Amino acid sequence: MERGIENYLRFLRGDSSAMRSIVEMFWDTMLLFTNGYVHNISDAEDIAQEALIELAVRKPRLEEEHQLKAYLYRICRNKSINHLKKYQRMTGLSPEAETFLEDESAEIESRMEMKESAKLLHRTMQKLPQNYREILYLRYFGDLSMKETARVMRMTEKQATAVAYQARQQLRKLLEEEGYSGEDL
Amino acid sequence: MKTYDEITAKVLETAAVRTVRIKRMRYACTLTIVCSACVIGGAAFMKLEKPEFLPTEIQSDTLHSASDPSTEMPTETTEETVSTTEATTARQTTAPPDTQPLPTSVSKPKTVQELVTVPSESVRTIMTSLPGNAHTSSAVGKETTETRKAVSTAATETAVLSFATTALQETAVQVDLTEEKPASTVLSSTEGATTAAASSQQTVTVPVMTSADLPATEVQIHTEVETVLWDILSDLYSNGQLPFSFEASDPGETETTTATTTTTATNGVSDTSASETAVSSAVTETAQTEENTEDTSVSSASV
Repeated sequence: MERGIENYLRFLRGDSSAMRSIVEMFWDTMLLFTNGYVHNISDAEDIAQEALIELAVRKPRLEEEHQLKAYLYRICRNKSINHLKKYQRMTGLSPEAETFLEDESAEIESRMEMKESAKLLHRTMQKLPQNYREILYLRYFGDLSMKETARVMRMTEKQATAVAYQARQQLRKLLEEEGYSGEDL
Repeated sequence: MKTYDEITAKVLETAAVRTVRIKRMRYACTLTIVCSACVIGGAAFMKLEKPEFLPTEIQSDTLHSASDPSTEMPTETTEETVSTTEATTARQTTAPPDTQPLPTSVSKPKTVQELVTVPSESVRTIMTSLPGNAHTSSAVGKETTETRKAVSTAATETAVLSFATTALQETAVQVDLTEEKPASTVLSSTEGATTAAASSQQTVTVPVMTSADLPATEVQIHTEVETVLWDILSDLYSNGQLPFSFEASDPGETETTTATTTTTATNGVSDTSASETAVSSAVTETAQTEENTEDTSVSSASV
């Protein structure tokens, strides 16, 4: 399977079509990750797109796959936080808007060909506090190592490990409340 | 939801635009640093619009030492004369300046001097916002050709800026003539600037000319060129393309100073002495305050 970093290196050598592969590989997970912050697919799309544009403009020197992922997620994270600071979350979305956003989320899930268990996990994660959700996204949807996750989250690896542990505990509790046991997952 | 192709296209397109913008910004910043140390900053901004510029050009294609001005100056002044005259002629054939009403939203500047002494920040802003091909020349001679072309159309924003910048460039060349060293060397330090001033003071033989000293034809040319420039600037202003405004002035006062551009151009090298004095004093001032250097120098040169 072609790796993102290979595409990125191709892009640096001037092959614009490589960007298409990068988008295909990372877009959906970036979107989900970003949507975890902004809770608005449209905004999440803009932010994820900005992250890719930043990658294309800055052309950072990246050599490993995990570096590329970490770079993209970090930009998404920072931009999402800035976005939240700038535009405080809307309160009380109209029912139509809620439905629309849910549909959009569902579309991403189906495009990612998520298994039912992953979908459940994803939805339950929405109920977690932001830092818990963030770290679980990076670990389990972004496939980042703990070291890279810590770097994206701007914390030490030790801290990240602790937060990830707490996040898993809380997620387990939530899933159990939903009626799922560890065996179901 | 966007498709991958749409996203890719958008990403590539935006990235291309931003890359150019960033390069341009970096280039502009570097030029600002270079030119804030001298009196001819305005001329440097011409290069901002080079279509294929690269940041490395700053080293290889520096503005002030790229050519030997001592050999180019006479040619330049001659070409400038042609340029000015043609501009006037072109304007006269299309529409007499006097019959063109000025917009009421802005007031008329007094002289070409005022046009040239536009704050450097503003000049840079305009230059950066202009389309790419208007200011592509790196050599002064080419610029004059372009100026002629641009002014002859008498309808583009480029014309004013080229003209104004050419005036600045002319100042630059005059500075070069006062010293055997390249202008950039002279102007790069306080000590050098003082030397330039002292040197040119010794060579001054012609007193500063006023409009009263000029032949009637030159005054006429000046007035017409001024009108052309003002018309163009008015258009720019009314289109919201000028980030600055002019103070109200009495049209009757427009004759107070004559454009050195015209004077110098017509009479050749010998007539530049007056400007040399002015420029050298401006150079001295540069050593004292960087902020006001450009304006002071240009206005002095125009007296």
